[in-house]
Amino acid sequence: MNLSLKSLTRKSADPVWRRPANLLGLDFGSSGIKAVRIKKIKEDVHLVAADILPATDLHHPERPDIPKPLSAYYASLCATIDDSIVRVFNQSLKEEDSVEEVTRENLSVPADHRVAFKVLDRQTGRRESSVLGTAMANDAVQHLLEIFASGAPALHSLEIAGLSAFSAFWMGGDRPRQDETICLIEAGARYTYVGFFHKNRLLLVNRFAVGAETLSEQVQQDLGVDADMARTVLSGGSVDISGPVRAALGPFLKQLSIYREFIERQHKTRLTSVHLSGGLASSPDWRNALRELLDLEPEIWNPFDRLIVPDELDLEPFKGQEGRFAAALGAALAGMEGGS
Amino acid sequence: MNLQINLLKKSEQRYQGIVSMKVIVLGSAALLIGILALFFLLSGIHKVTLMAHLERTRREWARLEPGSQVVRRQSDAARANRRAYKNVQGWAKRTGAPLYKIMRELQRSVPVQVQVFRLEAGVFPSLKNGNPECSLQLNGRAEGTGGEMLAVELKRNLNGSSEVRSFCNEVRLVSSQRETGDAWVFSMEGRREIGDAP
Repeated sequence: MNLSLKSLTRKSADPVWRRPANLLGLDFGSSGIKAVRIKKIKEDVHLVAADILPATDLHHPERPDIPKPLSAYYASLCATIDDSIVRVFNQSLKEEDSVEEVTRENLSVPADHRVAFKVLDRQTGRRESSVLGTAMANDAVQHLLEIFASGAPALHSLEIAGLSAFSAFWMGGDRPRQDETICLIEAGARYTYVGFFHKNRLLLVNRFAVGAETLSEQVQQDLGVDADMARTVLSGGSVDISGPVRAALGPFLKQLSIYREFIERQHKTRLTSVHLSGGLASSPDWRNALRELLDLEPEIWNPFDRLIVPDELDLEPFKGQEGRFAAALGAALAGMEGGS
Repeated sequence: MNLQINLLKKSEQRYQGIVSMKVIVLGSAALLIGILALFFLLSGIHKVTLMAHLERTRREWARLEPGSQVVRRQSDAARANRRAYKNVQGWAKRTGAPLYKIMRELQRSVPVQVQVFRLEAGVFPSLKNGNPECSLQLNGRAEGTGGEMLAVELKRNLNGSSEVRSFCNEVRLVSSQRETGDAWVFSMEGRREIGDAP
């Protein structure tokens, strides 16, 4: 029996052995680090604190100064890293297959990327299984590990931000009907994640290099204003910027339309609802563009509705921006429940 | 639906709590070592205490040993006396009269003018057939007027004692002769074969 200090320390890191009831969720985004601390009391999950910490360079992020209300021993991280990949693929899996190798092949990632997966629907024989695969540059993972190498919080999990937001949608709250086909869109400052779900199962997910920054740049270019003014115009809705928005979102909307058609034909269904989260969700122009394309009224969902929020917790500073916390909250909830 | 795909390896996750795992493990080890050290310390103190007690006891023994040897010798002597007493008791039982009673009767019977200078009383093999017999022999000297009658008086006194008679039947005057002037020497004896009825 190995009783070395190293082995004991490793054993203590086993997630089965340790499932924190008090967890900090951190979303490293380009607009800031969204942080939520949740606590499980019996079967209920309570929101303890939420804040948006100053942004850091995502290529070499620094460890944020975590305020006292957000202090926890463990943190579940999600991040929007430039060359990270997320994809659902279907392939027949044999018993002897290494799913990690299969995922690496399907994602076509170089050797310096770390690959992880989740089998969404395991089939036997020649029938294809559905696998959700993600990849992130090893350097980025190592850097995040290094900045949380000592002291509290210790890293409990690390995942792709878009998937965390989708987890938050599905964990807690009222679930859509079983036969519905829904689209979740997590739109951040630089990237937008789109996920299509049918019968409560993820069918398709992709990341697009479009977000609030893309719109801001287009507005700045078309209207000749600076970044602050562009941000004001985007959030206000009083200036008609449908032209710049269409120009910026054109490729994304085209791709989204193709995805929708593919899903509806493949599964002989109709898209029933669209749910928005992320910083861009509050933009009226963004919502209008989606409404026109999908012919559906996009619903902005509030991630804090999934929790018990104490009366004394002041969320007023984040009113209208609740969607920005979806990824951080999803990471914390999934970390508390235990994922793959 | 939990879509979490954790990109961290298990080996990269670390324990974090109020006290780190390293401190817990090292603290436990230190506690164990402390308990062992305390155990050995107490054992050492106990051993030193025992050794001191042993040394004190040895000194005490050295002081008391001469006295104890005296006590032991006296105890041995007492045991020998008890053994002798037991022998005498047994002998007295076998011969029919305890010897001290014979001596007491003899003491009462001897007149003041008579000096007994030889007395032999006991169980001896018979000269006739070798069977054990109780024998009382004595030699004495009588001085004064009518000295020759004093031996007769002694013989009469002894034969008047039931204790003496039960021991050796009748005591006879074996010889009586003048030594000088009024001094007479005499000898007497009495014998009884054991088994004879007194």
